[in-house]
Amino acid sequence: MPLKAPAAAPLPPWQFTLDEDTRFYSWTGSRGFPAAGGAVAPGGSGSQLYVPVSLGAIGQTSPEHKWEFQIRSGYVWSQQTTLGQAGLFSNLTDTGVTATHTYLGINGIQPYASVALNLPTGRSALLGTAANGRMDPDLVGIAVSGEGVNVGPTLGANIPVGESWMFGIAAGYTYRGPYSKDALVNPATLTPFLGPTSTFDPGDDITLTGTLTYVQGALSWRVSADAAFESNTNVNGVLGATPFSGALMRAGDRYTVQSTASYDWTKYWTSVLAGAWSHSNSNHVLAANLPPLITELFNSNNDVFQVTLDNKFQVTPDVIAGPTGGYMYRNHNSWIVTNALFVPEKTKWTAGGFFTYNLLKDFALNGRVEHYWVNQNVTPATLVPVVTDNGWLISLGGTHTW
Amino acid sequence: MRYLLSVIVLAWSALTIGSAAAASLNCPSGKTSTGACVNPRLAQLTQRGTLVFAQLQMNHNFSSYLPANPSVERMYPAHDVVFFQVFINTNP
Repeated sequence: MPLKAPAAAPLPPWQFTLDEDTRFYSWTGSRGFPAAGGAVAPGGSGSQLYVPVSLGAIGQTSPEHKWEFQIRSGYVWSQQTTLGQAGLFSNLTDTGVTATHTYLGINGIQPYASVALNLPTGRSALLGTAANGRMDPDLVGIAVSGEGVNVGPTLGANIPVGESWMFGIAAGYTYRGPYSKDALVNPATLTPFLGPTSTFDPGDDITLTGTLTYVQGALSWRVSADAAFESNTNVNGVLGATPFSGALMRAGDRYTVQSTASYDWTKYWTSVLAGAWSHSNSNHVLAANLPPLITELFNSNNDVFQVTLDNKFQVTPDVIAGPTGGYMYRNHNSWIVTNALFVPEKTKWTAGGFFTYNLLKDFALNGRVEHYWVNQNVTPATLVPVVTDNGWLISLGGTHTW
Repeated sequence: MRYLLSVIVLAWSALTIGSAAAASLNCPSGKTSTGACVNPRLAQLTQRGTLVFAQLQMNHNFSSYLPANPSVERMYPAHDVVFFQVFINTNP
């Protein structure tokens, strides 16, 4: 009698997660954004409602093939009420779509391929006073609502070492498509591009990433490092009074190290400590508004340090709550590549608390309240004195899984 | 870009279709070199921690993580400090 083949283990069911978070930011400060120069200027204030929404799915089509999909979009309403700099905009944000396939059929290594898309459902150019609604992203959730079509393929692999350690490696390429952008300037000379908008074609990025993770008992620890290399950013517009089409700048190479550790002190208490450091090399810029690009004389980018500490307490079987605190330090003005914006040197402290309430078996409420204090040093070049800001973040969201 | 994507798709198809399947037992995160199932949490932390940096320049609103999560820790990669969230799930 022939032996019957053993039955294959059933595949785990697909898991779906719908997630929404409503975040409200409100800040006041000694200047608006961007900070006006001179000894006297009106105090600044602003607020923002930012509502990211996400739908994710994870599942397997066979024991060897695991798939993950996610779509994420949102809505933003952003208003600055600083005297002389008042304005607001509201819009959908861009929509991100991600698909990741992990191949599980090789012992000792799990390669994966991922592709991420940015679909321009937001608005990249803000005209008139609406542009004043664009605020320092250290004060509010996001600074802009849109950019162009981006495509980011990534190849990577998880490499387990024993049962507690794992290496992760990945190489990614991000194509970033052109889009219309208002109020462009040449950052080297501060010469503006004339006209309401110019065509802004941000540089593409190559990113190399390595991760080391350890999980054993109550301790989880992860460190990741990445290097990103960007191509030229091109602009088509009128620079000063001269038609211009070509390379405006090239962002310096960027390096980031980030580490997170989590420890379960007891069954009811977990601490999570996270830190990050990043460095950007000098940009290549269009000096005197004339090509070719040359290395800027001083590095207008910065090193950024950040640390956060969360403590979570299981208050009741259905409620987790605890305090959170953080510190960030930008040691120079910073070029933020994702929206082509310089952000001032500053320190930022945050303190607050959060909770999760498992209202139903498949639905949880999440809330957070944080206060933040921001301090910017004197900026001699623009005669901006010390600027202090403080504000609140209040968020409430829900997570539904099935 | 189209050429790059084509090369990636072809290489990926060759790897995943041509390889002998070693996963007779369903391990949801694959197996170690000794054949033991990989700790799913270890795999999740590693893959997300790697992917988030590999796709860091995608968009100001882009994240491979969910906007809210009951048991996550927020951390922002520093050069896009407020645009991104790296979550670490502290539940198994």
